[in-house]
Amino acid sequence: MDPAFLTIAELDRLYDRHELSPVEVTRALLDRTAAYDGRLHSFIRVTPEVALAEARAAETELMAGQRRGPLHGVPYALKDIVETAGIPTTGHSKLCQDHVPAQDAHLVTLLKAAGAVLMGKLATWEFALGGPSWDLPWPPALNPWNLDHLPGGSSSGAGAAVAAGFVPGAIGTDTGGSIRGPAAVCGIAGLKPTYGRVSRRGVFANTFSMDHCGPLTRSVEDIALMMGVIAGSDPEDPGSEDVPVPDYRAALDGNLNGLRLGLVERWYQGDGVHPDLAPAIAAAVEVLRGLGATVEPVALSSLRDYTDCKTTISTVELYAIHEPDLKARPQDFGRILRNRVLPGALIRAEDYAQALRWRTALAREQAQALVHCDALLTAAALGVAERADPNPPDGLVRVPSITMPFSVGGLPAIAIPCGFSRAENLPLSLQIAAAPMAEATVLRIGEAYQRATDWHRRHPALA
Amino acid sequence: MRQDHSHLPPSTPEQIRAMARNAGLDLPEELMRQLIEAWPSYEAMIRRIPRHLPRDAEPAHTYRPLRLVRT
Repeated sequence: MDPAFLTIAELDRLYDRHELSPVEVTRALLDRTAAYDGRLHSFIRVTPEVALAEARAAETELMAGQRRGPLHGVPYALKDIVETAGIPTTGHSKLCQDHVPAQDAHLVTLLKAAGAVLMGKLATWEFALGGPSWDLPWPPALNPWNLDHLPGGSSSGAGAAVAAGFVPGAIGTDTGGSIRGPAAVCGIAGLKPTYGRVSRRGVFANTFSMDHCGPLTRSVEDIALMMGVIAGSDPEDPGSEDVPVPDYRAALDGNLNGLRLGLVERWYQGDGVHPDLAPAIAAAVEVLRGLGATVEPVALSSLRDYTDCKTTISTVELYAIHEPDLKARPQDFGRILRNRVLPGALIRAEDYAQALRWRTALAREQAQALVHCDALLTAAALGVAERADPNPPDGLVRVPSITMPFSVGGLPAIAIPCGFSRAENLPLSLQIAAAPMAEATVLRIGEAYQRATDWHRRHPALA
Repeated sequence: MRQDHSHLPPSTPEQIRAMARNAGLDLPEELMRQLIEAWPSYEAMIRRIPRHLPRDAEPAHTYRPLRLVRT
């Protein structure tokens, strides 16, 4: 049995019945990665020794009937801004190419305790912001659906590796859309949890007040399984919330009867939006209605407003983080990161404070909308995967982002595939967001949609 | 109607150089030119920030001393 595109839930069942073993699966995925990642560049560093040692340990325990949970013996990989004790964590940057952390990030500790198998460290945009860049020590990852296109960013390697069947799940981070964007253009699922739901301790900071860690997988059910391990309070993360973690998998009942959904159509209408996107979202809405939900339009502030607010806050916080290196060795940063962060030196304190006050107003607007509905629907990307162009115009500030609104709100938001473009045959994606800590609602809707559709079962052909 | 600063004229390259100097940045000329090229989009962005929020509008992160005690 080729395990390349088995989901975590399927591996769980097969391990349970002793029909497949963690060592067998890990070897097969390492071989697949070795065969194809030379063109895809999704990994910065594969860790076969670690993977096989963890897989053997898991296998021994499973054979002895000591089952730790659904991630036991399941391979995964980490965006290379998540610290791993004894394994370099580079941020895909020349500045940290020799950085070997002494400790694991908190979520890595949780994944180890769950018996998951670390396959390696994944490409990112430099420090989770500057990319795609061709002037860094490692090349940018490419999109497995078409190697002339990019996998989005900044969790670029995570999106590419999961879609390519190298790992069933990966951990990414999302400040303005860095989990949802790659998930959207790679045709997989990616969840940005509520701010404070998953610990950021041991993860390179991008924007302290908007950084989130979360899973990318090929099914919503698998997102639920990974969240069951990594969600929870961490007293050593000042942003962490002490809220009980529900059984996310138990929430997946396929039933949307009585659920009220608000559709934010305005965000994916107008110039620059792929022509196949609105029909794909409309079709997804009909599927959700067919499953029992009611869907009504909702009006929120423009993407321009949300993007301006988020980017002002981020640029200042990023500059504060990187100021010493930007002054001492600016040429060691990639051009894109440097040009996205240096403007933070020129933004005045009053602009930052006003943006923070604006954020409260925008977040309240979302909270108000969620009084009247259980979740919000919109697109997860305004187009398909961009072409891999080494000298692209930088659209970070100029082009509004459809993922940033829920970064500003700190809300749980998932991207799931909802179709393919006709001209390019590249994935299109639906975004679902809900109230703070209502990840279970987001997952319930997404999983019900995936029971009724098969977009998530389509995979790229790499051979 | 939102009150913002979008009516102000864009900064000149010399003004951008002066702002960078005031921020303590001493960039090689090539990197300074890149900053001068990048800045107008950011300047336009911060000038769109609304300035008419009520006096009691709180910023999105406020000081939470208990959290620091816990950590």
